[in-house]
Amino acid sequence: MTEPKASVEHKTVTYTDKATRVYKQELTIVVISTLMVMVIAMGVFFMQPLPQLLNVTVWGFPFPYWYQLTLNWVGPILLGYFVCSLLAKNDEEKERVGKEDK
Amino acid sequence: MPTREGVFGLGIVVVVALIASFIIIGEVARRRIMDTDGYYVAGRSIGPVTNALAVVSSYLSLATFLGFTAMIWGIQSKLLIMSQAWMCGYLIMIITFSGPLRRMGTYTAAGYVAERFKSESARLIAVTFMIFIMIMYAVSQMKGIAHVFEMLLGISYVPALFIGGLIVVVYVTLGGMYGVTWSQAVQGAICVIAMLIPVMAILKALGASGWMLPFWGYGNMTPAMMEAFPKFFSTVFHPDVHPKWYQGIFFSMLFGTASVPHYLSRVASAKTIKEGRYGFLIGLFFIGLVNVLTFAAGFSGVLYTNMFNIDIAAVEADKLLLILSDVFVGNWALAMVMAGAIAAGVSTVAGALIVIGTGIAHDIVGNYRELSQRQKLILAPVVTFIAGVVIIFVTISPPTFALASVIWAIALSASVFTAPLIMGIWWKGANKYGVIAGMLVGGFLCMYANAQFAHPSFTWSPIWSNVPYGAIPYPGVLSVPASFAALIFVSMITNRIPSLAAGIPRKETDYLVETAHGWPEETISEDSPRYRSDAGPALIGAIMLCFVFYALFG
Repeated sequence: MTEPKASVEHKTVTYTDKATRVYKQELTIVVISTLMVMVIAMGVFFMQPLPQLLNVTVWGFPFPYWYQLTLNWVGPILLGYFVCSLLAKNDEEKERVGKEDK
Repeated sequence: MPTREGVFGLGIVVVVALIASFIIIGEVARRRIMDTDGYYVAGRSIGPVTNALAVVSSYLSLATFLGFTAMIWGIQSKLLIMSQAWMCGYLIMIITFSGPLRRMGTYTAAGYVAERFKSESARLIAVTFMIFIMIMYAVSQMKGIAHVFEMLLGISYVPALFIGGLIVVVYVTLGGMYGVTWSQAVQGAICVIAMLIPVMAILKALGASGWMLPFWGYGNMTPAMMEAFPKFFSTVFHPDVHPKWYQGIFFSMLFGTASVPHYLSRVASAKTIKEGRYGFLIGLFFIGLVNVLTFAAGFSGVLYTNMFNIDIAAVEADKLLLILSDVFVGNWALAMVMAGAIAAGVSTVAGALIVIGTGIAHDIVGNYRELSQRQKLILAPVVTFIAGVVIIFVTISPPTFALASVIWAIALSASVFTAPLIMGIWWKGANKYGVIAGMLVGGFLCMYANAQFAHPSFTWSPIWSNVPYGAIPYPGVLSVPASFAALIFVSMITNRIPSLAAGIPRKETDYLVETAHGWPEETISEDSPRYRSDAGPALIGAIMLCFVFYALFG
């Protein structure tokens, strides 16, 4: 009776591959988004070699100040929304993996 | 500097009405509290919008409301560096551990440490640091509350501190977290409106062309600022200040915001993880809105003092927003700012006191002695009240800038709790020996230097640097990386020493990590490779060790 045994092994391997894929997705989402957030938080550090940015004005404000008023307010929230939606999908996939095993 | 004499009648009416409404909410909520979950985390029943507004008022302390304006007056655009890190720190919390923490069901940092690492010693260390952090956090709020009551009643600082402080403490004691959460939602809305409208009026009085959009609409005033104070907009690092100061901000403020204990309580009060995450994002929008409004207020303050050659003592700068409202607009604006400041201060003090109350009642007493629900519900308010009175006494001699003790508390939180939270959630190898080492190393290194700026009584603390604009976050460049490195390497070493590894309940903690990440029961096995690899933590540990060497010898 080799056929049933082979199909059980195949099912276990398939489940493990799926679970591993979902886990790696989760890690990738969190690691990359965390690094992106850190880079955003260091925004002013990256402006140091460019003091001439203070002479660039947008809506009357020097660029670094304008950056803080707009990009660094709305930008992180949009990134956060995107990441939260990915994490929510990842959570659903975890539950699906569990159900497939039953 | 312009001062107000005598009693401010309209302000008293507004503040009394406000506090009365909070007390009523607290009393109504108290009658609905059935158990400690109801007291501490509002029965885990709060929807995303309500939680978002509560998040806003948790984060927007009175130190933000008044202190940002004062800090911008003191250090101008350099504050942008800090506020960037604060915003992003919240995002890191949402991404890395809000979901797992919610699934674990813990609602204090100490509770998390005890639950995840299965160590009562670790819990005790965590509770001690947590209480200390929240006391320092609350000191700045009490200072601000005292300033508001000074202007309301025309009395001096100390009597104002006791009157205002006791009113706030009584309010918190009555309703617990249930009342606090609902009140915080109302307070969050008040904070936003009470900042938005007066700043619009101040900018209009000063001549801003776009005062209707106060966060963006004052660009036409920048030539006047460049003439009165040319360095206002400069974010270029000061040539006499070592870059480590700025890096210290990054470590202290970014990692600290992610782990401040009373923000974590917000995670626990959401109905579901998804709603919790989205609630935080909505809250982040309003937090950012108030942040950029404080930039406008700070801009106005600097312009006003420079254009009219007004002298302000640094210790009085926290009243600047109140003064701007009084000078440029009038009684209604001043009353509104006072309402917003009180709302912000009350909500933050409430959050801090609840954390202290839960820490002592739930994590210390409740852990070592079996208490009935009724005993727990009596003990928590008693502890909360006593803690509030202690904070009032500590605030008799406050720091120069209200924001100083908040920044220090956040830096200490970064040094103690961020490594256990991130590494504990994402790495099964993090163990109780590592977490104890990480908390102690990070905590003591952060407390060692520059703490005198947080509170003048910390005379045991040497000054490492006295930069022109606040040296407090500086030790974070050493303490935060040291905390991560200690946790990671001590965990790795002790996992490989058989006699010590035998004392680590790996089966339990591994299972906890898996379930915290939402893996269903049927997918979890003892040999699951998920979150087990040492490679990632080793890399993080090595990077952090490099930062430690740089901080010490660079």
